[in-house]
Amino acid sequence: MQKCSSCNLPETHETISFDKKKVCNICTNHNEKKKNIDWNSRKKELDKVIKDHKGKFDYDCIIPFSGGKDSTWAAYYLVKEYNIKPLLVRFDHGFMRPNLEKNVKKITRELGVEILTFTPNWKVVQKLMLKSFLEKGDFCWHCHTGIYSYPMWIAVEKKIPLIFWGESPDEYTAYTQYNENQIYDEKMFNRYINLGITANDMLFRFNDEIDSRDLKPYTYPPVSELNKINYKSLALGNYMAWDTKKQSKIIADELGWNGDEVENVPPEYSYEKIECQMQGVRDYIKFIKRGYSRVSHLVALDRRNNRITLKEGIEKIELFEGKRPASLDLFLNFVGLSEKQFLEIALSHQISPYKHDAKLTINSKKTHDYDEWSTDGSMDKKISKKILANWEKNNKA
Amino acid sequence: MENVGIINYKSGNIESLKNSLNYLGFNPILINKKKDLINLSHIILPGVGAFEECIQELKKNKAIEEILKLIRDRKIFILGICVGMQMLFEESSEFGRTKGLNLLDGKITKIKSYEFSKIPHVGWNNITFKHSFGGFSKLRSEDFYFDHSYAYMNVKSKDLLASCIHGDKFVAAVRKSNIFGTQFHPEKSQASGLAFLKSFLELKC
Amino acid sequence: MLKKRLIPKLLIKKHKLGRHNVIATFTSKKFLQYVPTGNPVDQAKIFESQMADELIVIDLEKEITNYEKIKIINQIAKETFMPLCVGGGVKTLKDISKLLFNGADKVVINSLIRDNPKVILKAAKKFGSQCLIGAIDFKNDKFNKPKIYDNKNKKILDIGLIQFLTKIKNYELGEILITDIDKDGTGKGMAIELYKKINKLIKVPLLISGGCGVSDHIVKGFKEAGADGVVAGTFFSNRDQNLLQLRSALFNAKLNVRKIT
Repeated sequence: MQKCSSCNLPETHETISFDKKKVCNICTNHNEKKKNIDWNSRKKELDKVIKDHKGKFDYDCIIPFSGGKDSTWAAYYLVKEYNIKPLLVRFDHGFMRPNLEKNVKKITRELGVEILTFTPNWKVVQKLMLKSFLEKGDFCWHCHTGIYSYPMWIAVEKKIPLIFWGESPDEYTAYTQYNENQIYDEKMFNRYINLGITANDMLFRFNDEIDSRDLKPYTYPPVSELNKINYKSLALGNYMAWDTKKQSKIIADELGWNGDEVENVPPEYSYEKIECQMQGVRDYIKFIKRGYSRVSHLVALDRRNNRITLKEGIEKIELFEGKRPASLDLFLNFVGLSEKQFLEIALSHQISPYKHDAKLTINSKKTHDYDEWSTDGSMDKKISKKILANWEKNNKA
Repeated sequence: MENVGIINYKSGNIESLKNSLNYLGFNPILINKKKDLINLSHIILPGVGAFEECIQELKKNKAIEEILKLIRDRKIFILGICVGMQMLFEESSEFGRTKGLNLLDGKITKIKSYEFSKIPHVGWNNITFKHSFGGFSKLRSEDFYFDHSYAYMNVKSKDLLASCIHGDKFVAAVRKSNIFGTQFHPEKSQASGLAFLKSFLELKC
Repeated sequence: MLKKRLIPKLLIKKHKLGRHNVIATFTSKKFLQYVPTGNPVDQAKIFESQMADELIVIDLEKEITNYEKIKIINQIAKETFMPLCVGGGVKTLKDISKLLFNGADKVVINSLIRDNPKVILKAAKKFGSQCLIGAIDFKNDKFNKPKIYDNKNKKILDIGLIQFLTKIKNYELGEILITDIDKDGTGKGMAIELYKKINKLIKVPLLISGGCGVSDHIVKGFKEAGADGVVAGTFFSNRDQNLLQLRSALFNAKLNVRKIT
């Protein structure tokens, strides 16, 4: 597999391309675009956006919030810098870890903000996880679409036009490129959020076995509704030089935000992706499909910020990546699959040229809080069997 | 909202063109008779299909004489797209020799086909601008959508705005004062196409 | 330089959802199994946001000039700023005209090529051959020889694929689209050697379809078969893939594709 000579990300990483020196476009965007942006001028734009909205609506803005490092930083920065009254909107994907809940309590009390949490129908979530894993090799469709769409409904319903996301996706991919005035709208939803499936499409894929009303949280609101409130959906990461390491330290010091042990990730990255019990499974599936995973991402970010040598990075990757997470047992129970079926499905979505060898996989241990995670809500086997049978009929030779 | 005229004749699909103009915040007006031209500063001549058929249908449009007068008097900006651009020239050799509107010097001829560059020239190809135009700086290379077998091959023309290569080099866009033409379809070229249309529509007399 | 084209395919037909009859998109497998994948307009918007080079929409019910289907074409045309190629039961010059005036940039004709080729010449004279895509579906017979498939009447014809392509060499078609029914929807790779042979035989640009499973299949379609465009359905709807990822993969394989974002 071709790999970036600077950050080590492989050719199976979505949107990556290499120049003559084998340096990838994400590194180049970072070095040329991000470094050369006039952040002072962007800050002035941010000042203006805040000024245009502050005090004019029930809330100055919506901050889609999980309690992880990026959304916490967004909330912290905007409240401290501008003294705004935000509404934090939290989409509960079903897998929040105990430490995360403690963080959220701490942060919201410390900052003095209102928070709205929405928990979707678990039985619907289970069906969506299984279906999207089968058809797209990614079980997080409900999460991607819910996190991106649900806050927009709140914006429409409560007439709050300004929405601030955290980091810019340009930190990881090249779907956009640190553009000035970048907005996060339906086009972006379709480009890289919804895996090529809208909620309406999902209804067709389920062929009547799901109530269309159950899909509202995953539906991006109609543009006409958003235009009525003059919406502005922006990412804070386009207005400041995002630095997750630095920012995580600040929120830890100032708000008492705590990192956590993350499955199959080196302990020095305890600020990363602490918010999901299924993060280990997600990383494992990515490794089966593409031959790299979260540790490679983290190393890549460190490489771009000159915090680690290539040799050190590769050592970390080889030590931590590709292991079978303990949380896989939980996942299999929630979607009603055997491990054999799981592997078969993940392998059917491999990205060339990577060829996965399951025999090389070793197991990893449980996280410290594993036994606190809910095991309630096993999949109704009748339902999973039916969904799986439909898929097998169409996808097996 | 500013009005933009689209010369109406049986030229094929103008829906995309109308959509693009709407998207850019302009109001497309179909030009059928002289009255429709009042207060217009920019008009577009679309064109898909056979040159001869297009010219015949175009001449049936009741506003054509007035349009030609406004163009010659430099009172209006015109953009010809694909066969619309070809019709601005002296003549085309498609299906025999057919006369064009003679607003630009030159003749339209068939693009030569080679083993690695088949005809029709269909798909996305990059054009290089000889002069800067609106948001497009000189020498900037950008992909646009083409679908044609005939073109203006004289890349040494003084009216050349941008060129393209498919086997041989040919003229991708022209500009002569208030007269513009693109061999490619800006209304089918997504972001670059919309940017080009915007640059055209922002021209002031 | 002319770029290689990536063209998603939307197969549409009426579908019962709850108590309503709507038009849905479908994946197909060997032209036998059809499974609903979504709403045609939503799917078109997704491909527009992912910068597809073109979009092909085919009516599986072969009534593309029907009122409801035309409405869908109109809606798709409003949401997309890229070329739209439409087909499915096109029989007459009037059909072609109707589609071109309702948002289509190119018309896909299939059985018309065999049934009434005179229409092709008339359409070329009126609209130009560049707006006509000749679609030919083939299936291997019991001797493994590729034969033309009549999708209207659902049967293999006793006409060899190569023989047919030679016969229609001088027809006024702007492009030729070849679909491999045996590989359709299987994700097992395309008939590269055959497509290579066809590319040398025909005068106009070649579009190929049937069997894309991983990006490497598409790379081979361009590099080894020399195709000008790859048309894919299942590859985009049922795999962890999207056009931007695919374009990067092709770029990394040193193919000429449109600039990424």
